Amino acid sequence: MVGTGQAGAEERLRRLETLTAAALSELDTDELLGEMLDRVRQVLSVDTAAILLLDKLTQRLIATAARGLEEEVQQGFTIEVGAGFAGRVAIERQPVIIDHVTPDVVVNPILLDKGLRSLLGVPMLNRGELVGVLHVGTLEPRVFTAEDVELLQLVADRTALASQARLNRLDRSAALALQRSLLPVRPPVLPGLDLAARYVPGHDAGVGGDWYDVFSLPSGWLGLVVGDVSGHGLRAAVVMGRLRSALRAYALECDDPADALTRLDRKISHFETGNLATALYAMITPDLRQLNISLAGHLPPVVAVPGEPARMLALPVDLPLGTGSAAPRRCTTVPLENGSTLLFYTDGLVERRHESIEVGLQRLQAAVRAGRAEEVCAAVMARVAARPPADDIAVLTLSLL
Amino acid sequence: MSEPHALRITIDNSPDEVMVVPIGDIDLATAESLATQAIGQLRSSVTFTIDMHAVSFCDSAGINVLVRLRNECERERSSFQIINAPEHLRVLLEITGLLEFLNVRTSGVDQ
Repeated sequence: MVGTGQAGAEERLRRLETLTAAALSELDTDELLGEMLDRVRQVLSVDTAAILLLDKLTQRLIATAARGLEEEVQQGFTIEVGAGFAGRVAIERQPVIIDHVTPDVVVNPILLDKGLRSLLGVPMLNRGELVGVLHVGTLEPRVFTAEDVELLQLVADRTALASQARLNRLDRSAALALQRSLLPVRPPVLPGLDLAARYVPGHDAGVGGDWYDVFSLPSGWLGLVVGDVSGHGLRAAVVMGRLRSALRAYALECDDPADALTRLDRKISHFETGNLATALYAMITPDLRQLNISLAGHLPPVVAVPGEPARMLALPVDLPLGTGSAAPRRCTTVPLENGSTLLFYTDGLVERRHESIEVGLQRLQAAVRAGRAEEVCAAVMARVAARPPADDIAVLTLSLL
Repeated sequence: MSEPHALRITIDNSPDEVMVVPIGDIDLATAESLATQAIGQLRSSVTFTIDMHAVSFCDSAGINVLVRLRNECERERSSFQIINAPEHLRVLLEITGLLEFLNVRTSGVDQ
């Protein structure tokens, strides 16, 4: 058992140090946070202790662990950075002390209902980046000392590291789950067509905003999409999901790929301001003889005809999506030959740090041959993709039988 | 895992021109600091130049920042240009259809 108040500063510090070191290595993060808050309550002789973690997607602090204030977590309390007590700690990135709690400084009704009289909150920072807020409260008026602040800040610093790791893990798995749920499980089976696809998350930056899509349209045309939302993690994956379904909706209404991309561009510029994406939208005629294609800052497909080396289609490239420019988009018609293979991809396949993208594009063209879509995908992933890839990779291959 | 790459930024702010010189890699890890520092220097009616000669790598996060800076300049009625883009960057911007939009100059001194 740990004693309370009387222990000297050094002793109190030592107890927390011991806990943080041991806990980081052995406990599950949620257990660690709870255990940490128990110790904080004892060592600082306070009634409540709570951790709110920053959700980067919404810029809100989310109650994640609490002791003496369990309602905060149970009721799913969240607060905007900058608002209320925790929000103020987050925006100032400095300890905040409230000697006398009043409704104008504290927004959270749970804190007020609890009858908390004094509060101390400190930011949780990891390498200068805000991870969350740790705060403690007392039911009796309390004057927090510089030593109290220092101790709580120490706990916050240590906890930030573990919490950041937890958030990163959650972000990563949520983004990957979202990616997997959005990519077609199995490309549509269409007579005369052989389709295959790959998605591999980036090793360094994690899941990104790459996607591919294949769908048949009511008109009998086939739609093919490959795109890449700039950025990484859950945020990029969420934007990707929105763009993907928006483009599907526009595809139902547009006969011209350039028209569909123009609408998608307007959608991004208005609803997803600040996001930049590249995309390629191609439509194939029901008789599979012709491809209409429009590029929004995206790499052109590689085409291979039996018995000939593969080549990149020479196509005009219009601006990426989300630049805010209203410049017109172009559509190019390309005749398709029997037995040919088309490969659509994102830059993660060919781009390497400190190497011109042209080298990667050469490598790609050398690896593509006309053939079964699965085999082409396999050959390209084996010969062109970095192992492990730094950035995420999406590849969509289509062969005409 | 690739090691973290550093970006150094020097800024020369004269009455008519703001010259930003990023040195190193512009990627997910460094793009935001370029955006913050460069936007902090932006004023109305100046020539805002990014000298890219010392940029060894630029990914989509970097391109995103260049587009943002260009649009901020337009809002401020300042003119935006990129000079001394190394070949790898020029190719990247050409492939993404951004050469003209980002006003990428062929030589470093023309206006």
